[in-house]
Amino acid sequence: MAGLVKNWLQIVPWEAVVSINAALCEARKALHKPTSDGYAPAKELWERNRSRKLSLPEVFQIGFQCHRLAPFCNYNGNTFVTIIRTLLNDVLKGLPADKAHILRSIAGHIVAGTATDIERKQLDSILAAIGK
Amino acid sequence: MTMAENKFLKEAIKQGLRMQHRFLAEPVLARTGKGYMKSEGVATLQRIKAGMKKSRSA
Repeated sequence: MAGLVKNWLQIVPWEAVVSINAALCEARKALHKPTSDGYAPAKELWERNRSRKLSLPEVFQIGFQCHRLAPFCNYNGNTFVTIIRTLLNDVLKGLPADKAHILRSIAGHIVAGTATDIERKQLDSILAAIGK
Repeated sequence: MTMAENKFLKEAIKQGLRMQHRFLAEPVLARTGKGYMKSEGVATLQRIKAGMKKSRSA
C-alpha cells in the first residue's frame, strides 16, 4: 500500500512535540524543561526526518530514538508514544478493529522500548497484510 | 502552525492524557536502556473481539 510510505512526520513540527510534552507534564505537575544533552540531538533528528518519506517501521524507530535521547526532563515515553499512535489513526481506520488495536499497541511498545520479538514478528505480518 | 498541525496536536494531547497512567515521569529508557510502559492487559482486545463476533453473528 503506497500510503504506508509517506511524509509521516510532516504534520508534527518540533514545536508540537514540545507542546505535547508540556501538556503531559502540566497534567501531572511534573517539570517541563529541555534536557541539556538530549534536546538538541532529538530536535535535529526529528526535523531532519520531517521532510522524508518514511515507512512505518522507520517512523517507529525515529520515535524510539527520540525517546532514548530524552529531550525533556519528564514524560519522554508518553510524548513520543502518543505522537506515533496518533499518526497511525488514519491507517487504522481501514483495518479490522482487532488488528488496529494490535498494531497500535505494538507501535507503542516499540517506541516505549518494551516490544518483544514476538510483537516485532507480528508487526511484520500485519504490515505485509496491509500492503497486499 | 497550520490547521492540520493544530488538529493533530489536540488529538495527540487527548490521547496522551488518556494513557498517561501507563508511563513513569522519569526518563527510564535513557538511563537504563530498558523502557517502561505499563501493560494495558488483554481486556480491551477481548472486548473488541467479542464485539466483532457479536456483530458477525447478528
